Amino acid sequence: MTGGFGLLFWVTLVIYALAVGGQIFGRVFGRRKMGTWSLGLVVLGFVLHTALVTWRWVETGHVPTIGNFENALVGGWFIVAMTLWAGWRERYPLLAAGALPFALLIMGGGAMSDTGARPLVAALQSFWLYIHIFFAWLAYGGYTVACGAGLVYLVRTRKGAKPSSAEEVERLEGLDELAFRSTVFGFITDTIMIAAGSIWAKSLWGAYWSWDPVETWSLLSWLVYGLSLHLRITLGWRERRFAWVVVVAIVGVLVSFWGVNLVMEGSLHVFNVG
Amino acid sequence: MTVRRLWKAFTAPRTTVVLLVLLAVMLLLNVVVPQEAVLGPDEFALMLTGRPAARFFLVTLGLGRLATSPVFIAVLVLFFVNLSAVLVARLGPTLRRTRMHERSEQGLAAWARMEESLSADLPAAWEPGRIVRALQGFGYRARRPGERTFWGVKHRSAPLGFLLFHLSFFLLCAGGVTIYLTRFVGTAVVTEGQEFAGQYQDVLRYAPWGGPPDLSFTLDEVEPRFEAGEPVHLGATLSILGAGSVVRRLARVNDPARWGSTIVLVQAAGIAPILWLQDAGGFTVDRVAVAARTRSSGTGLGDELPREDVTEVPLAGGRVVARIEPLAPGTPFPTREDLGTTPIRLSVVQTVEGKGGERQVLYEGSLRPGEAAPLSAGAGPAGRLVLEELRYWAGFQIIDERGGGLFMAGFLAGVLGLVWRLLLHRREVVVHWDEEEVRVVGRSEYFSGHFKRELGALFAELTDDREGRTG
Repeated sequence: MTGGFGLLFWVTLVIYALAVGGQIFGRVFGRRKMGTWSLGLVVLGFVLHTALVTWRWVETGHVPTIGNFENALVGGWFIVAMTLWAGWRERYPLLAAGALPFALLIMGGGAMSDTGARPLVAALQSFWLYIHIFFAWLAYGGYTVACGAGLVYLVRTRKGAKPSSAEEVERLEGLDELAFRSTVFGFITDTIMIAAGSIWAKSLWGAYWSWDPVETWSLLSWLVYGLSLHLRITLGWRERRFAWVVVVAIVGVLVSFWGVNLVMEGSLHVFNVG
Repeated sequence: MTVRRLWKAFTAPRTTVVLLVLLAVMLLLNVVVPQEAVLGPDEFALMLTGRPAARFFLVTLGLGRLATSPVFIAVLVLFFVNLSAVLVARLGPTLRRTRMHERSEQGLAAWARMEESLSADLPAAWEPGRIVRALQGFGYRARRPGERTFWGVKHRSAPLGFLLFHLSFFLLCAGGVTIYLTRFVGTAVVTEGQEFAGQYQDVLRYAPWGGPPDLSFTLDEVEPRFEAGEPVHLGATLSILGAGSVVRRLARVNDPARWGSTIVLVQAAGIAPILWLQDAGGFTVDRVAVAARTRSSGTGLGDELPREDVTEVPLAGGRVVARIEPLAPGTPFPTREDLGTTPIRLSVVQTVEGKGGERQVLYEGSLRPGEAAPLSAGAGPAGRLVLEELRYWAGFQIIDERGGGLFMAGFLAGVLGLVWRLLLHRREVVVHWDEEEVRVVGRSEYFSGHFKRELGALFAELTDDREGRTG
């Protein structure tokens, strides 16, 4: 990753990092203006990020889907896009402080792998690949927004802090519902991702399921989110308890996206080996 | 009493939570504990050598083959028993919730104490028809249980999504079991022009029920394509011999050839020299098509070729062996046009009788298609080895199984069930009025914030230009 592309990539990461820092600073020291400026930075970073994805797409001639770097680049884009959408739609600009660090983590990790452009090898030329990874990105975006909303909720209600006004109560209820809705969204798209991946695996490897470490970890992550929905719907876990669940559950997503091949060998999911 | 207690325990939400946690722990073990399916049988066996504790956990307890271990299967069985019990217990109430049976006005009036409640002065131009229109405009199905009360339900069939989602697990399970019982996996390497009629190179799995598939085909053509040294396309055209007819099928990476319940995956390709061994009189002693290793696993920086890289071909009953080397590192994979001029580096050796298996080299060098190597060195047999032509070979995985349809139906039912249940969740609204006031109350299964906005919009439409106030 050299030249203009590399420069733009690092500038984007720095802008995101400044935006997260600014939002946390604004919240801690009560500088509301800082929070607004930071949200502007997220928007600026997102514009540059979109340019990066387009650049890579034009350069390689295919949707950036090959290798750790391209997956991190586009996966991070989805996380930021969904964070911005949720922040704007639900009026929670602070959400970026909770969700964007995951995009930074994934993109930073991607930049440490092989960033060279490669042709789309035969094994990846499948319609199901696009379905599989598109829904994976949506799911991870949804889960990250849920985690961000959960984090903000936990910070706002820490040490038993009570809401000071009816407006604050409504905002907290909204955050709780955002965490739940994002989890529902992530769970549905995650289900489609696993189903599409399984159908693709049948055509590529000859088996719907191979107990590959990445497959198993994805199923584990899906099960944990299924459990969180079950806890919410049937046992009534809400607010701080549900927030803790979605914050902890994101670990499974990070591991399945990025971590399994760092600690163990044998996965057929070549996108993760860089 | 005991049966009732058991039933209650099995249908309790907490039981489901415990079983889901147990399943999650099993999956975690599947990733963390070394698995034979991931490592391969040889490496797995090597790992167990001299480690009795590992053998106890991984083999005796079955944790090294977790997917088929008794512990995992026991948890799965418990999970499905719980699922069945919950489905049976919830079937009646769920079906009842989807019906819009008559409800009493008094019963609905009790809703007025609910949180999502809005009221306003009765508009001057009030008429019940506008309620029906407004409710229908928001997707509600309306009933009039009383003179001054309307009841609307949106997505009343959504609870059926719960049943569909949970039924999908049974479909997936049935598919998985059927696949387990019927799955046969074999590999084959076939050269262009050759016929395959069950000569598997290796059988990776025999089906507990049924034998290998009845499949014969001729490999007509292989199409490999590389860009910048990366394989961007691989296809193989097969002529499958059916009942009295020949059907052509194309197998590509990601798109296997299908023949009934059998699929043929093309996974690898290489170059296949056609060699003739002739004696000094010009008579052909042997003719073979060799699926030679085409790519070297070595670095190509002067080190000796790894032994497994060289393809050894016994000729004339093993008296002579041709040793074919892979293409030199960095050499592009030959296109079909290049096959006629691509040189193959090979050596021909024979075992010298009475010298303890010593090998004598009869020829060493490169041959292009149409060229011959003289075999007259030393005490070797006079004659020659002819490289007639180069073709492509293809490596296949041949899989026969049933149950894929159940699996697909399970996926579809699962996704549809989730969307139906969670996105199209059930909502109810009651509109009640008297001479002075109109009141709208409602409840939603999930997403109360979103529902509040919808209820507000409905209320605004009902009360038109009047100002509403929260009740």
